[in-house]
Amino acid sequence: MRRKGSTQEGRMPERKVAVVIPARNEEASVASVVSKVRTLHPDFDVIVIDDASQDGTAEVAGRAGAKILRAPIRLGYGGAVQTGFKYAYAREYDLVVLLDADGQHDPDYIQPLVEASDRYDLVVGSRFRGKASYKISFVRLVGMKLFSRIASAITGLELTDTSSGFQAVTRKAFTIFALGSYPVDFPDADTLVWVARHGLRVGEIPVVMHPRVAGKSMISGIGSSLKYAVKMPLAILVTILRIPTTQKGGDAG
Amino acid sequence: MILQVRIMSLVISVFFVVYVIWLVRNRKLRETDSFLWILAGLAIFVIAIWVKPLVLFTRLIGATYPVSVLFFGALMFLIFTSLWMTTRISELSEQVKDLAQTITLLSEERSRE
Repeated sequence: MRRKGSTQEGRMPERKVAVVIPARNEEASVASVVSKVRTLHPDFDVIVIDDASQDGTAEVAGRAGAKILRAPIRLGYGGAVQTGFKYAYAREYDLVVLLDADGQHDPDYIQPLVEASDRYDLVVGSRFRGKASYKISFVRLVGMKLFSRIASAITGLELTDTSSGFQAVTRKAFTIFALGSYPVDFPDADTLVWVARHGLRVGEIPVVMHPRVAGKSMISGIGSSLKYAVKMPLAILVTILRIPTTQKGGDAG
Repeated sequence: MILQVRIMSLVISVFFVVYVIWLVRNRKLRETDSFLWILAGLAIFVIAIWVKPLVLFTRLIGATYPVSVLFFGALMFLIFTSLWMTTRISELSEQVKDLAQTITLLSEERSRE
């Protein structure tokens, strides 16, 4: 990659990293997440995608030192994440770390995710690997395990937590999403399968997730659980049927 | 078919086509989108005047009543149109999302200047 000062003393080239935090009505928690990330990683850019929040999310996050991208209308979680990918693509970032604004994802695990991105093109922080302390409804747990199994079977990888939004995505991988399509509601196993089908390496490392600090989960209630149960198998099936685009314009290789 | 029914069908189809044209004239419907509906109106008109093809078609496919064939055809037409409409909505949603994302990125760029 053409980055100034990259070959000095044979050190690892300094990578341009964006921590992308999609947030909708998360004024109660977003500031603490942003400041913690900035304390731990002062050299990373923290970018909050404010998904047309009706509260002070943008102001609070801005004061905490994040760069704010403000969507004029609601994009949905996936739409907000994709905005982050598009931004990172245009601004020539090398790595995007995805992090939730609600405090579930511990910024302490950004470092291991970033380190693992040397080995993988997309790294997922899994709450089911290693010491799990995460409480979750039984129905959703079954769904998550099932779709992880399916995704593992397709990709030939060992995936345990495909619905985790705690990820490190390298330029090779986010270029696919920035230039192509990305699910608007809940990105899940389908995005991992899609990346794997492009011949990229998808991997997992253990992380610890906390209960939410505030707000409510994206998937709550019977309606959205049912929608999830119907949508996921379909999304995976369609992803298998689609033909991978050959890398256009991405910094591949 | 009974005469009254045919007259009623004729009147309705004429009103329907006139209404579609009125919508296009007042720019509430684009010409390209009106095409299908004008065709549907004309189909009702033709069937009301000239029943024979419907009867022949009924016999051809082995159905008993021309009316049920007509209903079945109309139902299929509606199902496929609503599926087509849904694809249009998907397409529009995708375009709106892309536009909103572009606006998001552009307004950030402007605020840096």
